[in-house]
Amino acid sequence: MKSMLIAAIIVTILKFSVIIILVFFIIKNISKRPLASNIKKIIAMIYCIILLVALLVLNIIPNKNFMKSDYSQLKSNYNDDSVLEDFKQLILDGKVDSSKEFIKNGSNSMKSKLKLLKIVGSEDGNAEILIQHKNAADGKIDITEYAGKSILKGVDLTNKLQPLGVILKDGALTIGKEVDKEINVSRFAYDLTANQFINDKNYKMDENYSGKPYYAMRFILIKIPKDVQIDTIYPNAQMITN
Amino acid sequence: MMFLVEGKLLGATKRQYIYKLKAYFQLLFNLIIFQAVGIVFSTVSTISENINFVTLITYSNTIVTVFSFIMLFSVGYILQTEKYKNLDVAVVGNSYTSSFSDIAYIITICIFGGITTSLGGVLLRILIYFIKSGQNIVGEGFFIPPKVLLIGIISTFLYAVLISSLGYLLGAIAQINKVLLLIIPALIIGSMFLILSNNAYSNTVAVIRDFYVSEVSMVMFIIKIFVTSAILFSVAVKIASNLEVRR
Repeated sequence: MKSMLIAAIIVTILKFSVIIILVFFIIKNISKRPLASNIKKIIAMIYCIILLVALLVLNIIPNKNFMKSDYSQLKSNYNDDSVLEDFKQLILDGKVDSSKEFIKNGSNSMKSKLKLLKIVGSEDGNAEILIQHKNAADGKIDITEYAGKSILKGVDLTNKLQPLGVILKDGALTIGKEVDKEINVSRFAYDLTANQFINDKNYKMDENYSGKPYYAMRFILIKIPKDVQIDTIYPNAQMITN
Repeated sequence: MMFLVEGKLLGATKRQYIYKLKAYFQLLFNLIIFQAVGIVFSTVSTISENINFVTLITYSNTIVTVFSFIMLFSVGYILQTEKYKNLDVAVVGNSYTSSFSDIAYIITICIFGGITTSLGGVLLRILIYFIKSGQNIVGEGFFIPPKVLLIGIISTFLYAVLISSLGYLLGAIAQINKVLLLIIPALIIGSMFLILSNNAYSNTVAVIRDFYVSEVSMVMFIIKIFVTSAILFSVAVKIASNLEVRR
């Protein structure tokens, strides 16, 4: 472990050395053909103006489109079972669509004449499947996907979860796999030198947090006709009844 | 009589300081180049964490800060070199006025470095904002509260003063004997490795580091930096004045 750390430090020093040599090379080349003093002053002035303009722009950028952080979920022990129970209760109460905790992120409806429906999918169990009988035998399977609180190191990804997708194939409902589309989330650290004086608990969360770095809750609600039976080996699927 | 001497000392120091501000513009220009290169590197040199389908990229202006500190250390160091000391003869003064004006110049360039390093972080945010078209950026940390920006500027300035005063002292020591030119960088790099190793010396280095890095009170930090820099500058001035006699 220690040797790996030393190796990492050496690699970092080497990387910095390359950068520093590059910078010295640039400066040396500049010195060989020295810029006129006036041009240097103009460059310095432009640099300062750019920095001030950047400060101005930072203050006028609207903050509504930015992603939010949520460290409160990490602090408390986020319990999968209780979230699932809450979700089930909301379905039974018919209030899930108006809930703020669970966001609807996809829906689909498909016709089927099957009377015995199989559910297959990834064994990773990356979604909780809830199956509910409809009151009518309308020959349609309604699928709705919901995203629960999903957090990566304090960054709220609930709105960024992609629907898994469910398809009817060879007499079985097949649950899609975790998305192929990758999301790049950018965040910024405050000044290295300022860290020791900032008491912002949120900002220090990375240092203090030792729990699950990634947390995602997905739910798929499958409403099947009254006359259809389910045959499933999918680990996270369960029937819900009133 | 005493006031007259002090007045003359102050006047000569001021003249040398003003002269140095103009004559040493190249040093400030180099600092700008270092920072600009640092900002460019910061846009690509990031910490990435990939979990499932999400890649969390953390940007920081650490490279800009490190580059600025390297440059400011060099400024302190090279102001003690013969080449720069010889430039002093253009303005009447003695070894003390030369050293005091050097210190004033170092503090000035550190103020500039402190402000521009922190604003470099702001520029980095704006560059990334436009590169990413404002998509998938976490608001917290992107927007810098004025208080945090001010803390960043002041703390960077203070660290810069500490580092450049160390450079100034090492520059003076190196003038005593050229062999020290090799020993000093070896000592600096060696002390970096000492922190990683597990022995009595590494603890000493860590204690010295923590004396500054673990301080959470800004007032105490200012006092620590002020006292340390004053000691480092005083020793450097004393060495420089002794060297002046030898020259």
